[in-house]
Amino acid sequence: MGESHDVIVIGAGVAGALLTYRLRRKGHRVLLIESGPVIDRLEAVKAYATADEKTPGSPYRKLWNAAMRPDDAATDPGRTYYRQSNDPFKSTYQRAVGGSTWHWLGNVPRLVPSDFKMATLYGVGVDWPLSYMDLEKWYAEAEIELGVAGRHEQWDGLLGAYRSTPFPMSEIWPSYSDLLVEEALRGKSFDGVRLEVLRTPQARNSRPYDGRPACAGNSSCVPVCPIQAKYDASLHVQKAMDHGADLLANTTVVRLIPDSESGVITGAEYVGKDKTRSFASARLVVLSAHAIESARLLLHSGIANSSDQVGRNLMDHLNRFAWIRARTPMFPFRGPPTTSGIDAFRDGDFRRTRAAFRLSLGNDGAGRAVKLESTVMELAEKGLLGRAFRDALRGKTETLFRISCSAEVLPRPSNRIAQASVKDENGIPFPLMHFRPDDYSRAGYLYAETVMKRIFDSIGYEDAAKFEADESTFSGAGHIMGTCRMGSDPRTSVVDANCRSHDHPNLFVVGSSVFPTSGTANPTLTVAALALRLASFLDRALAST
Amino acid sequence: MPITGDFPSGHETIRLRAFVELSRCITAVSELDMNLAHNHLAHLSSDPKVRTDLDELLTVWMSAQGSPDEEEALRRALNGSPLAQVAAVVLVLWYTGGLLVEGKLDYPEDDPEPYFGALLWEAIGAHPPGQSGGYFGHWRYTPDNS
Repeated sequence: MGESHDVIVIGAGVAGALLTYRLRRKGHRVLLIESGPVIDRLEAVKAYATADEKTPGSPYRKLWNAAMRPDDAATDPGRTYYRQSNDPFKSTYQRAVGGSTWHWLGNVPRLVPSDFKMATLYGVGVDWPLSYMDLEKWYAEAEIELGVAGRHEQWDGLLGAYRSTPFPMSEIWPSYSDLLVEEALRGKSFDGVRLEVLRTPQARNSRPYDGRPACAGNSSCVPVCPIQAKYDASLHVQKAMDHGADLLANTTVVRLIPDSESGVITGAEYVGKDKTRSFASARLVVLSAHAIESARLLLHSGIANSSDQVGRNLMDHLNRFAWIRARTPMFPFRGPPTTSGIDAFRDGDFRRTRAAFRLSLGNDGAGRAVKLESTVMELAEKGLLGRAFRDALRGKTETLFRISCSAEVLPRPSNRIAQASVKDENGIPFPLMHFRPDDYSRAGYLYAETVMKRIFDSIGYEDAAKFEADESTFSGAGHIMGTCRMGSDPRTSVVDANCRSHDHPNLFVVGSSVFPTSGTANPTLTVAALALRLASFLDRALAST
Repeated sequence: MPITGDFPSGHETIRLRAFVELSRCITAVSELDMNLAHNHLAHLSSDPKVRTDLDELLTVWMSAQGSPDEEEALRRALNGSPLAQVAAVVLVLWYTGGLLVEGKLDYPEDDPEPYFGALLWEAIGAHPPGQSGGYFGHWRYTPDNS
């Protein structure tokens, strides 16, 4: 396909899908190119059920070439998609039509106003070139597009985050254990901060919405929702195609080619499933391939990097968790993996010296620490059987409860993706990952654990609360950000406040790659808001030329 | 009809019945899915060594069958016996859907039913991830079988 379009969108995750849909509704000709395949939901669920290990990539492992798939790359020693330096990066993502929203959890809090002004307020990090209020109406639209369930009165004005509209759907109901914890913490504070349990805003239906059913509590949100009650971006890809967008799946853009004099991106060279190379041109090119792939393509193309910031400022949220055996049954493993949290520590003057964090109350027992199948094996191998086995299994399980913390990371140029010496089948260097969190983040999550201890003490538990033994241990949150950050200064940023490349007038980058700071919010809603804002900008730009 | 010790291939139905009755005892679940039972037996029998071990276990089971407390009788019969490990494999298969091999679970490549039909979930008052069968918000309340 070598004909021109108005816009080429590279990457069919939530940003690319929303952007393509909105532009098509305005009548613009859009070509959406996605490296990965279309996913069949039933096949994905079946693959999940038959997987020996239920990892985030387990439903998708049969879809295409493992050497080209980043999912599980950080956690499976047999996978080599990431080339890891001595500072390994621990989060993964999906390359597929719909992107990482296939395996995401679905939590969609907004960033708070201070997240956009870290340098001004706290003397750390950088400021965004736009404010929370610049994005507020787009947050509201994103919540409608994705279908977000939440409790407006809990979130309106929280930490300064004004909400102009209510949530499209009422909240996802709290779990049984959420209510126990809420009661145990009633009236309690920690360091003068009230320990208020809030219903987490979720892109998950609390009623039939947008042609999708209400959540039935399948509990397999990560890695796949069998019924699409949890939003995934294949929804908007389909909507875009229904409106006439062209989709090339299983097609990898291998290079963006600039005009040597003007810097205008003339188009994209791509490789199809049959390995033939083609070229597509358009007036505008949008790169929405997530934080690692977007940087990879720009680095390989040798463009958009006069700032030397492409690939740098790689951020993720650092996750740690702790768990207990409560004195009372908590009845875990029912409902979404988390339905409530404590957001009171997501902002404050303490951010001058330590990271903010968000706490999630788990509905999945002790998370990774206690695999149910391992408990079954352990009891069986002890010789238990029959009623004694069943009673022991239940007794060991129904009191499990965990809290997770997700701590912010500051942008550091040394945290980056670079180009490995080994190339993939299309000749693009694999990503070489460098990621070393600093004392700022470590201080944040260690403080979070003192809060978690207070919460556990309020609930009551048997034996001891279990925390990570090693202070430097953390896991990735799957919130990959920062590698093409936005900013007003072309010397220190890749794109401007409208996601336009400082170096190429018709090249835009959108997604979590453009985040200058991480905040503590799961990034997807902000990604969606930025995509909708960009769609409006591009519509006006196309209409005026 | 009492089941005798030999299980020639022509008596697979009898073998299946013995396996089901053994499984009811060791899982403490009386209503077992017969399709799963058939598949589990086939899975266990696909390895000659495991098949031989299983047949020995079924013979031990038959000696316990008919006791006032069959579960206790079986437990005593397996105490100190290497067949206790075979019983553990059967138990784990029913409760997880995976065959325990060298400390790891091996799920059938193309059949999701062992996973979805695993007894683990109902035993803990939950459901298999990916198949709740529940209504919106059921997680707010105690399980129906608590």
